[in-house]
Amino acid sequence: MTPVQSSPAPSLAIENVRKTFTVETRTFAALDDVSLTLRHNEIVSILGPSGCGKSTLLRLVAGLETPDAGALFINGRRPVAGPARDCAIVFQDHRLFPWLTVSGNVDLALDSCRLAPAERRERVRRYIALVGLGSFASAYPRQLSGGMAQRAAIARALVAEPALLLMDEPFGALDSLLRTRLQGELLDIWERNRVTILLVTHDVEEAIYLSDRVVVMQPNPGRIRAVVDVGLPRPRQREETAFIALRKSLLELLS
Amino acid sequence: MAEQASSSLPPAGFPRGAVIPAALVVLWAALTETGLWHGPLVVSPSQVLAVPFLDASGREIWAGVGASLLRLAAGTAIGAAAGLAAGLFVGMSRRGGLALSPTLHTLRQIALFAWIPLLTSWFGNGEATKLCFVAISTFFPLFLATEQGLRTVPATLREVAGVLHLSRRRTITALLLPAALPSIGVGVQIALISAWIGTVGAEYAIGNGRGLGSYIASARDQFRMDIVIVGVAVLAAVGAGLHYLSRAAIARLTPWNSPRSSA
Ligand SMILES: Nc1ncnc2c1ncn2[C@@H]1O[C@H](COP(=O)(O)OP(=O)(O)OP(=O)(O)O)[C@@H](O)[C@H]1O
Ligand SMILES: [Mg+2]
Repeated sequence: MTPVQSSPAPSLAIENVRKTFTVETRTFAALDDVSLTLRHNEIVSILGPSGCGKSTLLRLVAGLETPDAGALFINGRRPVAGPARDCAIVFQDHRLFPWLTVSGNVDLALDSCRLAPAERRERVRRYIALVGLGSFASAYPRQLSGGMAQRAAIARALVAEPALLLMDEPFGALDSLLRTRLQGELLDIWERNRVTILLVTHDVEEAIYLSDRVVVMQPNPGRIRAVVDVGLPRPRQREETAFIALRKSLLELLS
Repeated sequence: MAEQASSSLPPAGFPRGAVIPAALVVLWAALTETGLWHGPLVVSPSQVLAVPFLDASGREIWAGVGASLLRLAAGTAIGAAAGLAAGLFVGMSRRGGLALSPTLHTLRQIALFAWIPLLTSWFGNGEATKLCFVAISTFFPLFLATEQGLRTVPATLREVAGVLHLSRRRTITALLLPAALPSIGVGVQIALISAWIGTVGAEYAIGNGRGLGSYIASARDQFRMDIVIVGVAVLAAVGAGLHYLSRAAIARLTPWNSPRSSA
């Protein structure tokens, strides 16, 4: 699975991808000529106004949509039709199975991994605790708040320890304290597991805090407007001048 | 926990719902006991109440109910299993669905009791015809409910099953069946009512053998209105009982459907 170290293919390569949708008789491009390459263990954030195709881009990477033009490669290989392997996605909505408890939902993600039952249980427990849902492991989704459900969905995506992690506004429903904590947890996991992360967010600070690069998109048709290198040493301080300057220029790019 | 909230629901508005039947019984008692309403076919509530316990031919109702319930259970087991299987097949396999679905949807247009002449000409007047009739009466409700339940599995959750690379088996057990279960539950409720009507209806129409339906039919032939009334009351009571039992069972099976409650 992992590429040979001497010729590392990028973790993810998106090449001139175009995606159109037809609603009634009108066809429009949700994404047009989008190219982006992610190195292994890189964190890239996508910023952009609502409707510019961020979710569509993640869905293309996950193999849930097929591009109308261009191609996508994971580890240098074009995924065969259908959902990509060794890749997890946190959807914009939590999408938990209502009839399964939090642990049942998280456990589902380990179905295709060959793990000993004891290790499997331990993994589920660990990732549920990681997102702070330890005492809600046996609760059903409808007993959770929106933010709790979103955290359960994050645990479900993390538990299989995928090589490529796609996250669509994963912390959007959380209060700022919890959000900051989970951002820290995500960075810990990223350091431990050497995972590549492509993350959609509306929060400019979050993008700067987490990412190596920030992609700014624009709508109609969805295109990449700019790719900004963050280049600040970690751990990053949100108050430092370079951080604030970067925030200012990203906000300008977005407006 | 979540399940308590739904399974302990009282039979909605029972005391208030009993007012009208109680009033009618009181009126009936007043009219018959005072002799205001009389005639060869008029019986009083006290006569009717005594029948299943004190009357020699009245006591046979218990054996009749027992035979009917057995028939109901056997016919329902066969018909519901077949309906569930057909619904799962049509709902899960596109090609199978295209092949089988039109046939079944055409057959289901046949009115239930129109099967009786066909079945009696194939299987005669015995047990096979009755069982087959009960099975048919449960088959279609379960088939339709299962098919419908599978058709309405949310596409968003199907995507999740896809990205998690769930095996086919796990997709069925963790996604398709639970998603279809509430609909299947409604199907079971309808099937049980339909099966009970089918059981007694078949017994009544065919007329021989033991069972509540044939019991009522022979009481009618002997002008035993007291027995007929008891029979009809028992018929209704068993039907209502089946309805509440199946509703409670389904609420237990789908605890996630209950209203939000503290964990
Ligand atoms: N299945 C679909 N059918 C038709 N149009 C679609 C479909 N999916 C997305 N679109 C359209 O594509 C465009 C981009 O949608 P997308 O969900 O990718 O936006 P987004 O950038 O994620 O927005 P938001 O920030 O609000 O989540 C929108 O105009 C949307 O209406
Ligand atoms: Mg989106």
